[in-house]
Amino acid sequence: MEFIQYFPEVFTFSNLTILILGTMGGLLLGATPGLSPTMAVALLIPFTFHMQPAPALILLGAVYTATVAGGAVSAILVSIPGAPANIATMLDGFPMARGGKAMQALHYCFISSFIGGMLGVLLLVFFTPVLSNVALKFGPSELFWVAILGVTVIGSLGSGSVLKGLFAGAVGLWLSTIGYDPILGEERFVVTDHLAGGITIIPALIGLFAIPQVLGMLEVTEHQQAKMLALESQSIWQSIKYNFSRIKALTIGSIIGMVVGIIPGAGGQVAGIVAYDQTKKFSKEKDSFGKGNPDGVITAESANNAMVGPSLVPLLTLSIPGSPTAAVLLGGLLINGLFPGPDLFTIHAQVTWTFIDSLIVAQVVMLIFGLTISRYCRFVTRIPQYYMAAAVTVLAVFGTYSVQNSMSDVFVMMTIGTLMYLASKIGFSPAPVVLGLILGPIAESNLIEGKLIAQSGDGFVAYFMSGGINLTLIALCLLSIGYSLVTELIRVKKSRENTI
Amino acid sequence: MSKLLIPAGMFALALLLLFAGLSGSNQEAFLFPNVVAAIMVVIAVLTVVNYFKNNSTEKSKPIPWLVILPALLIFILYLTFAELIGFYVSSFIAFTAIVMIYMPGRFEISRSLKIALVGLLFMAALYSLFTLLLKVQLPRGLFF
Repeated sequence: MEFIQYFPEVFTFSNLTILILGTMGGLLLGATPGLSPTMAVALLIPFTFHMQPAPALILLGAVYTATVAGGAVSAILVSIPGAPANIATMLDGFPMARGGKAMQALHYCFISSFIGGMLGVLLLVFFTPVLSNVALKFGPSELFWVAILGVTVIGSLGSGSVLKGLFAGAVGLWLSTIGYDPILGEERFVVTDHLAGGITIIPALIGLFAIPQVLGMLEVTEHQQAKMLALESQSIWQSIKYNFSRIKALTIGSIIGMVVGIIPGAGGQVAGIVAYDQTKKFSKEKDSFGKGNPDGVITAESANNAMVGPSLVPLLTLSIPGSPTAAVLLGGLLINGLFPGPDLFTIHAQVTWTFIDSLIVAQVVMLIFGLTISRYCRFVTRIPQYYMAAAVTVLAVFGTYSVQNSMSDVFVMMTIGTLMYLASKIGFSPAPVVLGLILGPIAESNLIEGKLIAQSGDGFVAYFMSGGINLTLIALCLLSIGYSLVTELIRVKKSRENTI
Repeated sequence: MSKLLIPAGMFALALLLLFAGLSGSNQEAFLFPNVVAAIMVVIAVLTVVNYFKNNSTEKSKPIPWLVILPALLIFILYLTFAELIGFYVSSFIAFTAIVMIYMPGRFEISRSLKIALVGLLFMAALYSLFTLLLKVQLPRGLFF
């Protein structure tokens, strides 16, 4: 029970102050479109150069925890996910806000983030040695199938039509191949210099969600806005009771978040979307998803926060980051002279356990501040649409530029966003495109790596289609596709019956 | 008939991307995008079949060009001149231009001053976050 022994270390004045400031700052950074958890942690690493290892890691851990939850604030209030991990939250969070339930959506978001986050950190505390072996079992073939499983989920994220959802997802996959081939270095589809670096996730994410939203806001008339301003309030206690009554959504989200967290490189975006998809499939009210079903917010947020703790398991034990942000955090560990492995839990036990304990406290601080800022969401919802559109446009440009200090990213963001606005008019949704962009590089690099391994072994089929994990993932992919097709057929049949 | 334009457009786009991939010099590097484009062709064909089997439940919304054109023009000018005149100045101009054009009611000097003040406060907040706190190097251009 070493984690209890080092708990008081978190509560020293300086450590607690750093933790509170890190959590508050993380919530604000997370809520800013373009400032993803990965970028927030990366930007803060230079600040930790002159700090002691324990407070430095407490700061980075608190920011990591809070930015993942903070990204949901902009996703819910203005339909722009603060980070890729919050895409699934937006699908039902924004319709809830538009229906006057912004406060409830934010309450559910922070409460479920807290529950998922706590479960994830407890998993990290108690099962680190066991789970580090599971992470080692994921090679290129398994990671390829994880990406394919994510792709099969794409269809259900469309605005109704599975075929359109799949097509949009495929467009995202294709867009991810623009730039240089990851293995051969061959230039692909670079029709202008602005595309030489490819299409990176954050500019695409901002463009796909922010620009259609800006143009949509400018379409809104005063009469329509007055209708949207109505805001229902709800006490925190009622929200807590409601959250616990949705135990199925919470459980699915937390379990999927924890499992995905352990898989190296998958990240919160995959966790949130897979959990959302599964909760929708198990729900009796499937049609209400995407229209403001609180279960969508609860499951997505519990999943992306449950991923935080387990994503550190392979990082702390094997130097394998479980998420892109964990990869940046690895840099923070190394800067402080901490090398992942058994030494971390023996020689550096004090620093390591203080860091892990601080993640538990950060969840509590995040919950308190999150629920506090939920009370002020009415100020955001009352901002006139033309002010909001202007602010989001400028923020989108700043956020995109700051990713790589590149004006090309800004041009790509604006172009992709304008095209998405036009596509949204004919029934396409941005979520599948972003998921395709995220999963494309994971699928492609692991396919090529696996192909190379297979060539020196028993061949392609034997490598990609054998082993317990591969077969389980293939079965899940087939189930997901089959389910989507059956649902689509039922939807079309119902639609035709209604027309008749 | 206009509903056929959507599946037909999807099919044309998928074919275009497939041909773009197949015309690449080193086909090994184009394996993944070509597989994806081929899948897109299959999905597009299914959408066309769906249309002719009368299963299509497509609903498209009209694009309000007159409403969005000023915004698109502001976006183009904003990005074109951002590096030349500076990020903060161009952002301030874009912010105030969007609000002034889309704010309902007639033009008044007092209202314009209020918009400019809000714009300045917003720029100050952005300066605090991006330049002072996060140390992001933004293009300063001719002005700031």
